[in-house]
Amino acid sequence: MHKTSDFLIAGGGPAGATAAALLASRGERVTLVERSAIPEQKVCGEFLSHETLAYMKGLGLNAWRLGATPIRKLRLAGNHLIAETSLPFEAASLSRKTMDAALLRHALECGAHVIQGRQVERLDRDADGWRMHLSDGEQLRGSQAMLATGKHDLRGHARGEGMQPGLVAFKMHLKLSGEQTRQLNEAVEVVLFPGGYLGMQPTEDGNANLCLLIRGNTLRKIGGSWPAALEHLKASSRFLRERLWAAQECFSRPFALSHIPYGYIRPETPEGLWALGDQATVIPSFSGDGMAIALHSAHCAVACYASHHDAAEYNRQMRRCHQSQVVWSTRLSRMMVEAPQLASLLRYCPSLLQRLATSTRIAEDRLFTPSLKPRDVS
Amino acid sequence: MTTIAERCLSLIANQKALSVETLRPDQTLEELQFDSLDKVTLVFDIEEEFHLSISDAELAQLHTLGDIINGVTRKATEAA
Repeated sequence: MHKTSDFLIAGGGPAGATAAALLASRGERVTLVERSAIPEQKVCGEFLSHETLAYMKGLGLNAWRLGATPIRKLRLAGNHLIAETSLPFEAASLSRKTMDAALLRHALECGAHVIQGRQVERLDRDADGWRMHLSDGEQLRGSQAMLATGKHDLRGHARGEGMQPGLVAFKMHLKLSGEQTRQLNEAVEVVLFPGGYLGMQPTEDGNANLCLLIRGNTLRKIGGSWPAALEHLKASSRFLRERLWAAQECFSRPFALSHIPYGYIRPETPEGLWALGDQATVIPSFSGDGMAIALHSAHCAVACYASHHDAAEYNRQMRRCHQSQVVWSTRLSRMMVEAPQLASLLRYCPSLLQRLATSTRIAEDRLFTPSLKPRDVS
Repeated sequence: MTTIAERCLSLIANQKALSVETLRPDQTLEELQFDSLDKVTLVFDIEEEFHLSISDAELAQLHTLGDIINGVTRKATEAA
């Protein structure tokens, strides 16, 4: 059975759902296919920057009403606390499960056709446009296609290797003690340990989200398991021992992901595919602003389409906008993994921490307003 | 001599403490209750056992145990 749309979107995370909502609002016929039947937890830092909050607001979504909890401070630690600073912008924490559900609901309300619980097997282009093959054999047809499958690649459209390969990512929500929760209060904590680093921040339900990146080699060396990874963290950092002792895990198992091409920027896309979010560029968690890039990519793609530009021009604009941000954030991430001792210098210049936090964001004048025009800051 | 298929099945069985005899090529990792962490660990084990690298795109196409065996056999043959 063939159904025809103006736009086929593979993936219903923040980038895909935002693009679907924006396109459907413009009257385009949009079909979005998301493999999860209901929004699930994802391996993600769950940090919403000022830019992400602004984009959500532009869509009519109030993160605070969805339960987001404010993040006002940034702490950097190794074995001990190295530095603490106030964040120079508004930020929040909101679980991906809640955020993805809200964005998908919004796409539906805007008129997009959303198919959940079915997997896209292939996305091919022929003389008549795009053909999306679903795992149950159904085929959908569309004039345009968007690839928004996040950190998972689709056959035939694989991303190359990023600038920082070889990391494994874990995510776990933790129930901390009352005292630990008070200490973490309204802060995102970045903790460096041999072979990787992690970010921890409060979640909207009073727990803490721990998202860690560790070198595959280090993980193998310490035994390869999640309990071994946790023991490694506690053995390497007194700060983490104090933060994590007696912490209870909220999921029976962590969510894990390997082979993530951190630092990847998609080169030219001559085939005319609109690659959004992590399919366009992958920025390391807690070093950059992946969520904002996801929402920005959707706005940029729809703005390009509305201005009669093609996917190749969109791709060029994305590269221009994010190249230096991705390179800089990946360098920062590599430094945290490979030379964590350099971070101790921040003890003597804590204001630099604030500048680092700002330097990895999308420039304000590149953000799109709800009318899909670049923001005017003059 | 142990074949690539036998070595793959042994790694899969060890991961979930299953008996190799119970595994069938048409079973999926999901049917065997593999979660994201099990998959990461299995990929590690396969890469180490066969001295090869599996990309995310390749991993995404390995649904059944038969797919895994065929994929690893192809990569191991290419590397030889």
